[in-house]
Amino acid sequence: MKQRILTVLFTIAITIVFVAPISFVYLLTKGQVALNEEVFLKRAVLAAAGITVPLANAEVVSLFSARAEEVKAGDDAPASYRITSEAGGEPAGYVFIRTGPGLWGEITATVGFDAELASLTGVDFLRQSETPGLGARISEKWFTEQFRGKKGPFTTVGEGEPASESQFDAITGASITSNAVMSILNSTISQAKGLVK
Amino acid sequence: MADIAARAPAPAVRKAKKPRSKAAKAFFDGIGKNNPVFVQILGICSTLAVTNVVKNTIVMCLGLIWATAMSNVSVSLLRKWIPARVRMIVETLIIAVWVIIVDIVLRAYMPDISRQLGPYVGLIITNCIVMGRTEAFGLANPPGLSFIDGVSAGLGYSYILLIIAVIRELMGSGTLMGIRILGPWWTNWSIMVMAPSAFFLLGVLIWIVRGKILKEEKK
Repeated sequence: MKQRILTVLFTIAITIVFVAPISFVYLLTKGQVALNEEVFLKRAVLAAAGITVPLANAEVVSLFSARAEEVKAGDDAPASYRITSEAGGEPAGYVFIRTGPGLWGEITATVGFDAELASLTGVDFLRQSETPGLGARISEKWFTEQFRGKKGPFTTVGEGEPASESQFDAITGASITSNAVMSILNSTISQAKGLVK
Repeated sequence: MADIAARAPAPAVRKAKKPRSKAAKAFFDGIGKNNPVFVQILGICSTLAVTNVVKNTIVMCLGLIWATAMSNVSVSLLRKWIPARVRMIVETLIIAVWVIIVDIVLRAYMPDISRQLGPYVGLIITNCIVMGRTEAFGLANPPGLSFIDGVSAGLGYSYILLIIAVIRELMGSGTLMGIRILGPWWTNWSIMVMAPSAFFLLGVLIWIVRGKILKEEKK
């Protein structure tokens, strides 16, 4: 009996001893993790707005607060941002955060439009769990930057082929991911006017 | 026939070698004849999951070496007090602690890699290599030796993962560490980026190593 109680006490004690440092490390890095998330979102919004994103975190934060402003459309509406021109005042464009199904999980994208909502200023991805090396390449620069200045609705062409104003280069070996991106973009384009109100 | 002739002198050569110290034995066993992946066929889930890009593989390997070595040392330090009945629970707890620390540190200081690896870092906890080493070695040996054993098991796992990752990234994407190596003439093999190719490659590697290199050791 005594042996059993000792075993239970040992298990409890060892759990406390080992969980304490984890809590400590967690608390120590909590601020940094939250900052990483915040900067990541701000980078994606700025990149979608077609603005060159600086490397340093602090610069990203200050540039964001100078150029972007969250627009509250309603509780259910996805987040959207109004981008002001460099001089300030007049809106230079809009960025919407949109989610759609991908191959393995949801893809969340930031989609940027010019002030007339006529053409795209850029696209970036906030969350995606596509196949590394295949679908996950949607996060690469060559893929996200090809949308700048284009008008939808989109169809796709093969990777590396020249694309017109309403086409984008799909990724070889990742047709489902490419089509998922296409449907997120096309639905955003068709609903853009309604999202700004 | 040639096989038998080649094998015959092996025992003589072995005897001539200096007997290894305990530490050296603990170190070389994990890399060679007691390799966790080749010989024990442990930890192959992650071999398949993270080896399509070399960068992710390196981070995964460092995480595993750290987790195995630290868990092995912790279990070894506590080996005289851990009641036999709850030793598995305690081992799992210790492993989880070291792995979660890796996860938290990655999230805070290497957010891009953390995002790419996703759940795989946490899954080191369930990697049988870590549990296997604490159970087979840490529980019965002093901390110093356990540390060496943990590092060695981790290295034994790492170099195989890296071999597979280099082949997969090179053939699947034409790149290494994200840098283009093969020219435009190369057509990427999409299969190399997907999980099945890791099965094929690992199978072939195990076949080569066990068939050719380890055959002599067994005799």
